[in-house]
This record gives sequence, C-alpha cells and structure tokens, in this order.
Amino acid sequence: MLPIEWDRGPNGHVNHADVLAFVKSGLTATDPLEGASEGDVVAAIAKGAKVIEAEYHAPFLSHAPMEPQNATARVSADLVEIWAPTQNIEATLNLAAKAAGVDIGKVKVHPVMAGGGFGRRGGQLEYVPQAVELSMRMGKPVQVIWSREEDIRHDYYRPISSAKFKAAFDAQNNPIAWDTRIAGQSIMSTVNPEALKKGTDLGFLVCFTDNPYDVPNRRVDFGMRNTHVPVGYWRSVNHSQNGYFRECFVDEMAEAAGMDPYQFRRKLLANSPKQLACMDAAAKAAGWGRSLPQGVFQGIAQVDGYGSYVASVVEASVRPDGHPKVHRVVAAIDCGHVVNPDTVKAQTEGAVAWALSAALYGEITIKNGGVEQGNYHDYPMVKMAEMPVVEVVLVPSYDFWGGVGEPGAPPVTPALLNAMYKATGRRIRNLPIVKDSQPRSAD
Amino acid sequence: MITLTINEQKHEVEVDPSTPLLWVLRDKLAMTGTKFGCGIAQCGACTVHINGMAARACVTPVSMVTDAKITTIEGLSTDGSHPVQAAWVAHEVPQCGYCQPGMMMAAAALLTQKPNPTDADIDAAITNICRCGTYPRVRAAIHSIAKT
Amino acid sequence: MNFALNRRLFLQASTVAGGGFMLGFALPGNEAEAAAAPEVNAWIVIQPDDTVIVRVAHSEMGQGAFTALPMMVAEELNADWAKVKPEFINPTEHVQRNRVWGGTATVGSRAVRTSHEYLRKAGASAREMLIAAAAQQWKVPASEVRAEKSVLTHTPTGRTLSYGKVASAASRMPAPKDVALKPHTEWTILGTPKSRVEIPDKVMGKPVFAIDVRLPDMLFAAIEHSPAFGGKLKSFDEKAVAKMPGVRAVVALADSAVAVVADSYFEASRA
Repeated sequence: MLPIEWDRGPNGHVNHADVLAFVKSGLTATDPLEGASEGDVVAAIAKGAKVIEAEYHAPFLSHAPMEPQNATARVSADLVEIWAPTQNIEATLNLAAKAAGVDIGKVKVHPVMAGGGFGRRGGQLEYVPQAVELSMRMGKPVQVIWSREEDIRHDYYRPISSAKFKAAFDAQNNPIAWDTRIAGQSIMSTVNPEALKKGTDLGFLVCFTDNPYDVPNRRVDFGMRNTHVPVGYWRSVNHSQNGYFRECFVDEMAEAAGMDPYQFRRKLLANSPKQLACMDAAAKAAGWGRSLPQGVFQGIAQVDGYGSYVASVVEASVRPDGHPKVHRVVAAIDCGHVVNPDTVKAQTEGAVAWALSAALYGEITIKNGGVEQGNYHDYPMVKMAEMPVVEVVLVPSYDFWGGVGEPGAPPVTPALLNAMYKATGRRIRNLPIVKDSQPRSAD
Repeated sequence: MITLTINEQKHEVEVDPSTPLLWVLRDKLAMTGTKFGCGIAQCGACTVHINGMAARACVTPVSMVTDAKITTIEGLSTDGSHPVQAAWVAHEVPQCGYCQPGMMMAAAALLTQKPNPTDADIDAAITNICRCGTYPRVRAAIHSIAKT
Repeated sequence: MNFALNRRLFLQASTVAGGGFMLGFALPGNEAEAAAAPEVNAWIVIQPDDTVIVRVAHSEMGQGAFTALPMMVAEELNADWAKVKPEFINPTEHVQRNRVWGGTATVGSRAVRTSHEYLRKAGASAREMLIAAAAQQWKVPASEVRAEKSVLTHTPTGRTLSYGKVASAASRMPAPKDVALKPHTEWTILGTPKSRVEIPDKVMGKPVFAIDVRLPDMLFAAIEHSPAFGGKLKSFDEKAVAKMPGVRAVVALADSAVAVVADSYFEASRA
C-alpha cells in the first residue's frame, strides 16, 4: 500500500462526542434564529394544565448509492469527453471545462444513466475534475473510481440535527401550545455559504414552518450549529428528520390528550383536507385498529413534502432483543396528477426501504475529524429479509403536480417508532434504532 | 496465462492469480454487466454463477475458478429471454438498475436449486443490497417464475 | 429573427459533432446517429419513419424521468406512444442555446413538477404545427384536420398523413402563440401505466452506466482523500508502489488527495 502522510488539519482532533455536544448546544441557545411563530407560545405554556417535553435526535447519514462515484475522461487537443453519473449535467459540463481550462464548446458530456444518486450527485462531483486532470496528465483516457470506503468517508452527509419540544394542554386535554427548537447543521453551510449570510436557513425547519396541525400557539426556531463535516441533500433530507421528530411528538401529544393517535391527528387536521384525505386513505387501506396477530402493532404518520402528501401505517413487532420486525407498510400518496402510476408505486415502495435502512441502522460518526464507517458492513442496509410487504394507495386529487421520488420516505420512520412504542411502552428518540433500542423484559 | 470458461467460451488472460474474478471480467475482458459495489462481498452487485452456484466475484481470486464454469449476466441469455429477465421486465423490477445483474444472478441460482422457493428461501438466498428498494418486486418476480 | 436559421446551422454542426443521443446508450461504439430530421421544436424531432424523438433534460437514475417526461410531451402531441423514443439532451448545446430545455438538475423530486407545463405546451404546440402543415399540403382549413396517434386526418375526406410525412414542413410553420392544454379527463397517455423504457437494457446488463465505459488505452485510477475533513497531504512514498504490476503513476490531486493510476482498477486500488 502506498505510504501517505496526512496533516489531519484544524479539525483532526474532533470526535463524535464533540460534534454531538456542539449540535445539542443549539437546543438551549438563547439566541436562536427565527423560524415561524403564531400566538404567544410562552404565555400559553405557562397557563397549561399539562405540559409535556421531549428531545429527539437524528444522525449524519451517507448516501452510498450502489454505483460508486466514478468518472471517465478522454482529453485530446480539441475535445474533452466525460462520462460520469450525475444529477446535474450542467455541473458535470462546467466542472470538466474548468478542470481542462477550455470553453464548454470543447466539452462533450456523454449521456449515461446513474446507478442511484439520492442527492449525492447534485453538484459536488469532485470525481469529474479528477478524471479530467488525470487524463491530461497521462495523455490517455482515465477512469477514476472511488472505492466504497472513499464514497462513504467523503460524502456530503444528511445533516445531523436534534429537536426539543414542549406542548401544553388545557384542562380538557386540548393542545393549546406547541414550541419547537431545532438544532443542527444547515445544508447551506456547505453547498451555498453565501446564502447563509442573509440570515437563517428556513429549509431546515420544514414540517414546522408549514405545520398543518392546528394548535393555537406555535413557535419554531433554529439553533444553527454548523460543524466541519460537509453536508448536503439526501433523499427526503430535512423532511426525513423533521417529519420523524414531528410525527413522533404528535403521538406523544395524542397520548397526553388521551386519544388514539389517528383520531388525534384527524382532529388537528380538520382544516387541512389533503393531509386528512391522505391519512384517511392510509388508515382505511391498512385497517387502522383492526385485530392483529399477537405482538404486532400499528403506528401512523403523515408528512407532506416535495409537493405531495403521504401518510403511512406501519405494522411491526419487537423482538426480545429490542429489534423491530416490520411486517407491513401501507402508504397513501396524493401527488396531484399521476403521470405514470407504476412509477409512483415503485418510488413509494423504494422510499420505504430507504427510510428503514436509515431508521434501523444509519449513522455516520466522527473520529479524529473524519468518518468512522467505510462500507456496507459498518454502514448496513435493509436487505430482502427485513423488507416488509408494501402496499401503495394512490389518492390523486388532480389539482396540482407533486413530486414522487422523496415524499414516500418521511412518514415511514415515525410510523414505525410509534408502532414500536405500542409494543414496548418505551419511546425511541434517538436514531438509529439499533443504538437506542433495548432488550425487552420478559413479557 | 490463466484460462477461464465464461459463458461457455474460453478466455485467456494474463493476470496475477490473486486478482478477483470481478476485475478480470470488468477490466481485462470488458464484461461490465457484473458490477463493483463494495469489494468486500457485502452488497452482491458482483454476483456471478460458478458451476451454477451464486458467488461474489469481488472476493473470488481468479486462480480459484480456472476449472470452473462461470456464468455472468451477459451469459444468462443473449436475448433477454431467461425467465428471470422476462419476469424482471414484467414486474418492472429495476429502478437505477445497478444492483440488478447481481440480483438476477442470485435469483436465477436460487430458482435452479429451489424451483418453488418460499419467502424464507428468498430471504435466505437473496442477500444483495438494493439502495432503490426494489425488494418487494424482486420477491414478486421470483414467485411469478416459480408459479410458471 | 434568424433563430430558425441559426438553429438549423447549429443542428448541422452538432450532427457532425454527434449532437444528440438516443436511448440505447451512447457508450463508444454504439452511439446512435444524431437525428437527421429537423426539430419541430426544441423538444421534438419526428423522423420520416414516424419515430418521435423527445428530448429529456433530467437525469435517469431509476425514478422514471426518461419515461414520465416524454409521456407529458406525447400526450399533447397526440403521438403514438409506441413510436416515442427519449433522447438525452447535450448539455453543451443546452447552454449554447440559452438553456432551451429548462432546468436540468434532477433533485428535490422536481423533474415532473417543475417541467409539466412547458413540456405539455411543447407537445401541444408541435401538434398544432403538424396540423397546420397538413392543412397547407391539402389546401384545407386547419380546423378540418385532426391529429390522433401520430396520424393527421382530414375529417371531411378521410385522407391521412403520418406525422413523419409532414414533420419537415411542420418545422417551418410558425409556433402558435398560445396553446390550450387538455384537462386530465381527456388524457390517454398520462395517468396510464407505461413500461419504463430503459428496463430491457438494464436486465441485460448492458453498459448504461459511466463505470462501464471502456475506451482504447484506458487507464484506471484509485483515489485516497484526506482521512479528516480539511486535512492536507504532507507526503507520499511513490517508490514503494512504483514497481507494482500495472502501476503507471502516482499523482497528487490538489493538496487533499492522491491517485494511483494503473492498467486496471484492481492494480490501482491495491497499490
């Protein structure tokens, strides 16, 4: 092996505990960035007959698409040719032209399909200039391939983030206030630092700035904590974090109010007809409340995002060692107009696997300034044996055009955690599940 | 010089005997249907058949398979007519498709050994990773072949 | 306006350079011929054999853009879906033509929801141009011509022309200023299940991915980046691997990565 000496740089001493402490300090920061506010949340909480609080956490995650990062360049005197998986052909073009020092008129980007992308290949395509530079150096075509370890260790990760909630109820158990603090790393800190100079990154607060649940006094703000770890977009990125935080806490609110979690949501979504219709469709298709085999429980969640509405019911049991078995996922999606129905179903099915891999196993941790994980053995994925039956119900409302690649993912994790709570009586508020689950005492 | 029998054809290659079969296929023989995903036998994107059994080419030294009959995705059929390929098209299994050659080779080997696999057989035999999440369709496609 | 002339000149130039690419995938050796027929508009080329080429500006990574986006064009074009073939745009041409194909970044579940209007309008506009061309050829009012499944019919007489027969004339017709889009209740392509066009290639293990490119004299490179974010390369001992089989060079990339270049990826990655 080539002996290489590295200067690990200014963050070479940073470990995961440091990152966590820094991010979580955003939960108690006294100078948060403003998000959205309605009513007077502080006064309402002070008046509450009952107040509940909870803290949640979501880790950094890698994309790890099956086709590793790679690029092939053939540079001749009058033409730069490039082949590379990309979600952004103009970025490929511009990076290749810049690396070769030529006008884009001398660059030919060959069309290829990408073996997955999931947000990894949207613009940070370092492998493109690497291939161009090496082809120029060698005077021959060069194919650059990042090993899986280089891929996982040099990704642009889903940001790390935490949430802290407070909700207050009146004497009749009606929710009267909901306060949310999000702490974590803005994607803009990596992909567009200039944008941050204008203030906050409201994209980090989705699911809360557009929270459909009717609670009279609400507030969300942001303890931004940008670490040295590069972050980026990731299939259903901020919705995957905030959807999980919100929908798990809504279940906690339902319990505090003494209501069934589906009926509690219905009550608070009375003025959000699309969310309501979608959730009703999922509940109906799943048979919410039906009699299930012993040990199997249902959880529900609904999240709108990417222009579409999705509600999921998860049926799961929990093994004695605390690990869940997901039996069935029923997802209802309203993407407005349906272009190709089978594609909508396929994407929604795939989103279930995407979400489950993250929920069960996904975590990137930092040691000495770099990533500890390196391949699928220490950054594992759900495989066939853990994949539930997935039923997708299309409930198009034909008055808008929504996305379908991502919105299927966010409701899966909270619906699973809500089902697990029914099985164990213990809330999981840290992901991945393998880290936070506990062996069950004998039933 | 190493002689390999791949898809019923003999190939002579000049490589270090420790070279994994995957890289002989991809870099020496330009048979790129067999994919590189992890290099450590975790993902199954490199699955081929060695004497009819599914094997992970990324950890199979080429010296171990000189006497074996090797089949790759290119040899499953020349026209897409293998039942697994036909079922994969009918069920629209692939999404990005990168893992699917390995997935199909694993499925074809399973069906040879167990023409009517149970769900548990499928769970045990198909340990490939698909990041797009095509697993439900892989399962349905395998069952559809078993029924025919 | 001499846009039409420029467009044609450009197409000639880009045909020489291999401007457009059909599905079937353009790895060396199997590049399809660039379309010889003129564009009806930037999105649509109809060949004399009635093949309808629809340009696709978004990446295909399994989410179905290569099928869904042409469906939106074909619906309003009243094309025979069986004759529609997607073709990936050439990004160089895209930039040189002032981003004529709209957004290309395939992120945020946006491919359909950001392009549905201009894609459907491109289809509707081309349909009107085909109708106008047929009407001109028959010397009848356009209102007497209908377009269905890639065939133009003169309703009173029953005469027909296929799209391929009038595409060239249609490309010279003025584009209508405004076109009405169909209500979803009239759709015959959109909303119906269509097989994803690239699946047959994918089940054959055909080389549709960048990592499958094989070029004459191609070398392979393995890369190692700084193990810590923000770290820098201090030194490396090239001599330790220079004599390993297949190794051609060890190259520092900027100050944060090292590449080993070799005859095969295995030889590069183990060095």
